[in-house]
Amino acid sequence: MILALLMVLFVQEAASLLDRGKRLLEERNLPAAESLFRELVSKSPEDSRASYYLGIALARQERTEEAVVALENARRFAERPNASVLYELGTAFSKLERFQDAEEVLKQATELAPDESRIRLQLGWVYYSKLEGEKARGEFERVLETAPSAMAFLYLGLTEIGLGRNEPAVEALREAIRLEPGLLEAHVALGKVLARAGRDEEAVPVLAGALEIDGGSAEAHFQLGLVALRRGELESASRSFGAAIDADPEHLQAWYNRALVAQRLGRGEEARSCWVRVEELRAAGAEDPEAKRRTRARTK
Amino acid sequence: MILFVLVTFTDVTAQAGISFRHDHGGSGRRYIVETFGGGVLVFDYDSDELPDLLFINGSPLPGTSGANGTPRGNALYRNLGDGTFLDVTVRAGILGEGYGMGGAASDLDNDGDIDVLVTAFGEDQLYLNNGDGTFRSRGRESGVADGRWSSSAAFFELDGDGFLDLYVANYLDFTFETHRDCVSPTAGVSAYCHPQEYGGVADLVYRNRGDETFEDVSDAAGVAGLDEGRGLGVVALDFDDDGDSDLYVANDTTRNYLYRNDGGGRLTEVGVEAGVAYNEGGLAEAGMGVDASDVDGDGRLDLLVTNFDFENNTLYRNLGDGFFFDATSAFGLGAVSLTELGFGCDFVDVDNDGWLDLVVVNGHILDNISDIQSNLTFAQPGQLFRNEGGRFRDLTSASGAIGKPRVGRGLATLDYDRDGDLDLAIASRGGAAELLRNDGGNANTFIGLRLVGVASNRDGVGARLTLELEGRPWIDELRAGSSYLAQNEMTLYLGLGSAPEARGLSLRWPSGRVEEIGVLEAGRWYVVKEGVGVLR
Repeated sequence: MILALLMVLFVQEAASLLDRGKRLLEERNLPAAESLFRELVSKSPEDSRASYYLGIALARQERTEEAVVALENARRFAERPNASVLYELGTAFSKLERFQDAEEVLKQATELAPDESRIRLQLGWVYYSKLEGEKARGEFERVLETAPSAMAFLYLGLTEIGLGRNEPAVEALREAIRLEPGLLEAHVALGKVLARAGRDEEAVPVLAGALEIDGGSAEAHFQLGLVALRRGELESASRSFGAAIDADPEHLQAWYNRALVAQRLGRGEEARSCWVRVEELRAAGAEDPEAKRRTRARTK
Repeated sequence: MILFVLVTFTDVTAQAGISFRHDHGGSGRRYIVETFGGGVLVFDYDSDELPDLLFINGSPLPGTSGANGTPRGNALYRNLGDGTFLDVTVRAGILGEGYGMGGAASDLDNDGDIDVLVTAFGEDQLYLNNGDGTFRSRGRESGVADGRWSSSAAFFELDGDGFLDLYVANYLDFTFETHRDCVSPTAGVSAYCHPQEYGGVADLVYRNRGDETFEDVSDAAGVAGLDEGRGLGVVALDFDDDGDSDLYVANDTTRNYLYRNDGGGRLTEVGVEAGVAYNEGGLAEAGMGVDASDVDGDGRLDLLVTNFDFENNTLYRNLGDGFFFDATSAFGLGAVSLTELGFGCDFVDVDNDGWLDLVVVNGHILDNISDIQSNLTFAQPGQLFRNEGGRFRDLTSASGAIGKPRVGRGLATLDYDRDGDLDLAIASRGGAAELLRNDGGNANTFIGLRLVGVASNRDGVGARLTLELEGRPWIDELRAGSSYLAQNEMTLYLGLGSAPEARGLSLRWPSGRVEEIGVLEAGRWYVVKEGVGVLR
């Protein structure tokens, strides 16, 4: 009798802690939420829900590796496979670039909840990150069938760019902008794909639109610089690359192209200082081309 | 008028009597050298004015049963002129030894026949042509038997003395003793190592003394100090229009080099300042093969580099005044090469419309790439891009055998059947050699020029042909070595559309002499001699 009463009290206390923690999560008071969930986990190490919410609290604090540990516990102790746990775990794996693991759990999650768009969106993103464009497109298209959103169109557009299909990319990105006119990434990506296709007349207003949303978009300035460079408008190109550098002093590509332009303009001193900066940034690993050469092998 | 011609390529390898198969020599230990061959050179070895074919072979590596056995050897195929070839390797004495990669061929002693350099993992070999269908091997005696791992090579006139000098691209400081076991960071499986697991090696420049020997002038030329490069492709071109041959070198994962020939035997590396060392984003790519041509009809030679997977092949447009611009996307070549790993590449006018099209052969370096990246394959389709007035369109699906998957490496052009359009020879890593016949290209007309230098080198390598075609300038230069581990047939070849003749041709020889050729009737091959003009 006493034991049963103690059990009831324990469960009530656990439920109360869980509710308080969830409220703290909603209020974005993440350290406090983490503290509560940790207390709960210490009292009840095999409580899947406690580990799940602890994982979320940690993930939202960008402590992804710790989040993975908690979420893996949540997965282990769940009575049955749970799509939400798998989704959070897959998202954490994605952040750590453990794409193989992410794919595995997210695929399992989509089997459990086939119509949940956030899971498919995340799985599509994993395929995109793994450079598996066709699979990514499949997931994004399924999301768009059931729950069209600007993000899904943006991801689809980026995927189409990766697959080299400019027209579908333009179409998807325009749709993303229609649904969410302030979506900066869609403006920049659209401007970039138009410029890369040689459609400068269309690219320029789109990139200008991106700068209206965020005048400090280094990428929009940089793309405008490339357009100007292609047109032979060297002074304009130099200004745009300069603006990109002002927005992001570590924008290697902008420094590099500004150096080339300065050289062509005969501004030797400016070119030299840009080259110095390029080398400094390279040495500091500002941009790592090896990130794209993921298929090349290294020593064990 | 230019006719739009639908060109397809037909695999005629078997019916032509070509049965060569490249031996990569691997045993499963994954020595990195196994995955970068093989090469193909096109040249007229017996001076019968028909292009012959030399396929360069690897040889058994440690761990294979044949490691101590007979090398499998190169294969020289004589063009019999009836659409078939005869294997004359043994009779010609060019079977070779060691592990061959690629090379270049030209008349090095100005005696009227073509000599051959074979690059190797190990000592390079030089074969001097005896003029009777045989060669004598002169690697060590000639001074070019450097033991470093070399890849592509190009003959060019460094110093304008009328003898062809030599540039050899070296790849990695790799030996069996320094071999490492590598794993894919994403899939955890064993795989060929990243080239940066090994040191780079400086390339080599040799001056031809004119007496069948060469002198290593890498130091004096300014090349010896650049040892971070991992050279795989080289092409000679006069990018600054000053009359001498400059060089462009593709390096794997490090910046590419552009050497400006300053005369007096000096080469100055200007790749970064010229805008061809890195891509548009300022990043070094994994360069493999290279070619040069005027793709936009502005009278300046542009550059192409084939690159690794998820990197574009990069096209640099020559803006003049020593500057280039990464114009890959503007030319329509951006995303079309993203999932391919490009090696051999040739600007070749497949439909004789006067615009240089582009053929690329692809193939991954990792034999187990599908286990690492599921949307990639080891064997990959080649690609044909039609140049439509300065913008390329992917016509691979209609190109016939070009689009067949292969582990493509060397690619060279020739008109083996003398039907007035350019055919292709392909070397694949561990695969069968291929001869692809161009069907339909000769619906438009052409002229072909073979050169005979007098003050210049005997083959006229480095000569530039110019004319005005359809209201725009047209230029090209004669080369000995380009693409990847390859050399094209040494003729200047010009597609004319349906024009009955070519007018206003001008030939600038490496000696500096300019020959005004005037009018040439379309549909014929000509021989042009320096100081004399058209011989026949």
